[in-house]
Parts: sequence; structure tokens; C-alpha cells
Amino acid sequence: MKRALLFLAAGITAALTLGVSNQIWLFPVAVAAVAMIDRRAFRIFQRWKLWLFFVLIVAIPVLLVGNKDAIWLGLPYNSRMLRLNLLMVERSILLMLTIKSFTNRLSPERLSNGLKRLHLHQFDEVFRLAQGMLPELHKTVSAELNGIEWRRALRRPDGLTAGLGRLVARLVFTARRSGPAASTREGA
Amino acid sequence: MEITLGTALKGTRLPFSGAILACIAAVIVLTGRAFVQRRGAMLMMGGVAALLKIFSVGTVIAGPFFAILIEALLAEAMVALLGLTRPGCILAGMAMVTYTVLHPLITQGLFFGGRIYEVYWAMARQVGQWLHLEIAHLALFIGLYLGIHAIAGGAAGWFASRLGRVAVAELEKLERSA
Repeated sequence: MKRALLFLAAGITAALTLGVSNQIWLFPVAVAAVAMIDRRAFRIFQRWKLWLFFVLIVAIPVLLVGNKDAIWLGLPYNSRMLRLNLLMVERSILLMLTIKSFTNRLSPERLSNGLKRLHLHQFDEVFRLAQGMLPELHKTVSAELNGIEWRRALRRPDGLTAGLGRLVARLVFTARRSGPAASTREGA
Repeated sequence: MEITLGTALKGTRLPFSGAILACIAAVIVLTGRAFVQRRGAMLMMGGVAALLKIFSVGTVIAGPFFAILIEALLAEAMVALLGLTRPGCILAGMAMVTYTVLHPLITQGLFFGGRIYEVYWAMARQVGQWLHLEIAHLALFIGLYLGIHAIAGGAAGWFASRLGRVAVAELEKLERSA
């Protein structure tokens, strides 16, 4: 966990100190470092929408806004803005990679231990409880939602409130019966 | 519930899925608060939901994680101010759902830096020039957009205050019959 936090701090520092003067070496070095530490982090770039966003954020303002002082393939563009926009995208790439690499190292157990070390015992207990009860509650939700006649319920808001009220009550009831308090009561 | 519905809503590619999900989250968190009469309960719920989101498969981590936490914090602040009354629930819902409009801008500011706002501003001015629109028109559009979100959030909060009361009564019935 300490190593993961150290890498996170280093990645964020690199992203925040990225500037026009150091981007030529700092960006490739930082990306290479993440690649050595955790290649899985690069999977976030498999989403085409992210690339489309990057292209739009770099290209469109450069072609449309400000003083167009350079030409590429016959298209006039703002070269100063292009440099700054590229820097902005590089910074976001570094931050995304760093955060993804950090969360890839997290597991429920590690997180739970971390919360304990931070003296957040109650939060840790609630988190563990929620995680443990998730499958059972999921079953209850599915069963109750299937039981609601949606068409009728949506036509009559009172019916919807009553149906959802029963669902919530059933959830809380199930949670109370299978939670640690219930097992303590049964044990006693 | 929010994680399951969130994934399902993303799959449907419905417009305003973020706002719809925030309405559902507002109903869940405010109804849940009716059962836990303690300060900080909604923040705790938000924290647990955000952490569960981290471990749910196929989600991008940072955005939804901070969105859930901040929404829970806003709801907690409103309920701390006005109590779990109908106005408190309505205001909490309004704050939660309106925040979904601001969240992408805040996240982009964190990831891309303050420069992204300059780019957006320059683009808005350029497009405004082409369409012969003024800043007042843009402000009106933003106001309307925020207002629609606030109304939806307020409705979710109002529904949650009713649902909370019904659910508490139903739970009492269940516990008596058990």
C-alpha cells in the first residue's frame, strides 16, 4: 500500500509539474515508468470516446479560435494554442494512468486494512458488511422489483410509493436479520 | 442498487442518464436516512457506495467515485441544515442532481487543468459570434439547464420524503409479523 501511495504521489507530482519546457522529457519518462509498473493501466485508452474527446479538445479550438499563425495541409491553425492544448492532454493522460494504476493495486482487503490504520473502524465495518451482504440484497431487490406491476404502479403514484416502500422495508429487514447485530443476538 | 442501475442506464445510452441516476441516488440515500437517524449517515452511505463502485467491474474509477462522495456530502449538508423534513429532502435532492451538471466541468478542471475552461470559453464566444448570440443568451440557456435539473432533483427529494415514511411503516409491520 505504501508503494502504491508513493507511485500515486509521484505520478500526480509529475502531472502537475508538466510544463512547456519539460514536457519533451518528463511526459515520455512518466508514461514509461507507469508502463513498467502496471501495463494494465493503459487499458483505459481502449475506449474510442476518450480519443475522440482528446482530438476534439486539441483540434477544434486550434482551428477555430484566435490568431492562426501556421498552416498544416492547407489548414491554418493557432500554433501556440496547439502546444498548450497538447500539454493539457498530456497532463490528463498522466493523471488518468496514475490513478488507474493506483486503483488496480487496491483490493477490498487492502482498503479495509488501510481504513483500520486510519482509525476508521466503523467505516471499515460498514464497508465489509455492505460487501458481504451485496449478493443477498441483490436477490431481494430483483425478486421485489419483478413483483411490482410497473404499468399499474406508474399510472397510480400511490401504488408506486407503496410498492417501493415494501421493497425498501424488505431490504432493511433482510439486512437487519443477516447483519452482525442479528448474529450477536442469536448467539446470546 | 445504484451500481446495478448505473451500469444498466449506461447500457441503455439514454440522454441525461447521469441526472436520472442522481435522482435515483437521491431517493435511495434520503430514504435510507429515514432508517438511520444519525448525523453523517448519508456521508457514510455515499462512502460505502463510492468504494463499492471502485470494485465494480467495467467502470472508470475517478469520476463516479468523487461524484458519489460529493453528492452524499451535499445531501448531508442540506439535511444537517433543515433536518429530514420535506423541504430538507427537496433541497438535498436539488443539490445532488444539479451537481451532476457541474461534476464533469470540475473533473475536467482537475484532469486537464484550468486551461480547459479558457478553451471552452473561447469556443463558446466563437460559436456565439457565428450564431449572433450574446453572453446573456448563453447564461439563460445554462440557467434553464440547471433549473430543469434542480426541478427533477426536488421532485426526487419530495418522493424520497414520502417513500421514507411509507417504508418505515412497512418495516414496523414486517417486524411485528416476524
